Amino acid sequence: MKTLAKMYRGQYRAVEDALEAWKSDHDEAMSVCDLEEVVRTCLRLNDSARELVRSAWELGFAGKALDSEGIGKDVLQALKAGVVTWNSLAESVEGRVAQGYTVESADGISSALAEIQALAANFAARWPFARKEEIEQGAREIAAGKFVTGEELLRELQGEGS
Amino acid sequence: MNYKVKVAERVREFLNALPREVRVQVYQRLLVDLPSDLSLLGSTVFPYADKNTFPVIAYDKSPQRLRWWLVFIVDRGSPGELHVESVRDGNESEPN
Repeated sequence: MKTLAKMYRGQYRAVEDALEAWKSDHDEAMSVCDLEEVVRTCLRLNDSARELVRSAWELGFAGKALDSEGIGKDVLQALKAGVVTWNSLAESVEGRVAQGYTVESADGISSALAEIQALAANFAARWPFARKEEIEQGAREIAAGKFVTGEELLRELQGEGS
Repeated sequence: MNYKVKVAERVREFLNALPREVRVQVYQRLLVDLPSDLSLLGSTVFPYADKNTFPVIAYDKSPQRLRWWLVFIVDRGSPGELHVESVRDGNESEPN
């Protein structure tokens, strides 16, 4: 899982690096063909990113995400790399379209960008990341005597009946 | 060794809001299984050396039989004690 997340993050970044190189290409007609291939590559990467998120949740709900912090961080970094790359790609495509070129799949770029943004935002909000402020608040409560013991909780539960 | 478990008030409030059948499963893992076997703890939580995650999976009795994935943050820095300081959750009623 973490390996895949790191790989997709690296692939998004490689695409971004390629886009930087592409911007210095002065053969505009040829560069449009390259740009179309970059769009296709990114669309495939989005498929992989979607599957990565699905797999991460499945791992969590199966009780197998013992390093939930590390998994969550790696997945989120991959998604954020995707957002950066799609933003850069959208800008490049818009530039070529404004120059009068037709770029295959140009119409789908805004929805692909919106999808990866939503995927990243949803994951960041819902993955059970540890929150420093919540941990420290809990530690303060226990230090101040605002706690219940495990035995007390079990007694409460038994007292409720079934 | 069986550790004494202390649960922060805010975590208790969270637990009290869970369906009883979910709480039964969670308490078994958090208050019975974990204190007798710390190898069940997950990874440490950066930047703390003594705080670990502890994941618990539970099922409710709804027709969909939803799975609950709770991740507790447990401090093991006090001798003989486990402090449950925080909890985060997800459940399958929300779209992935």
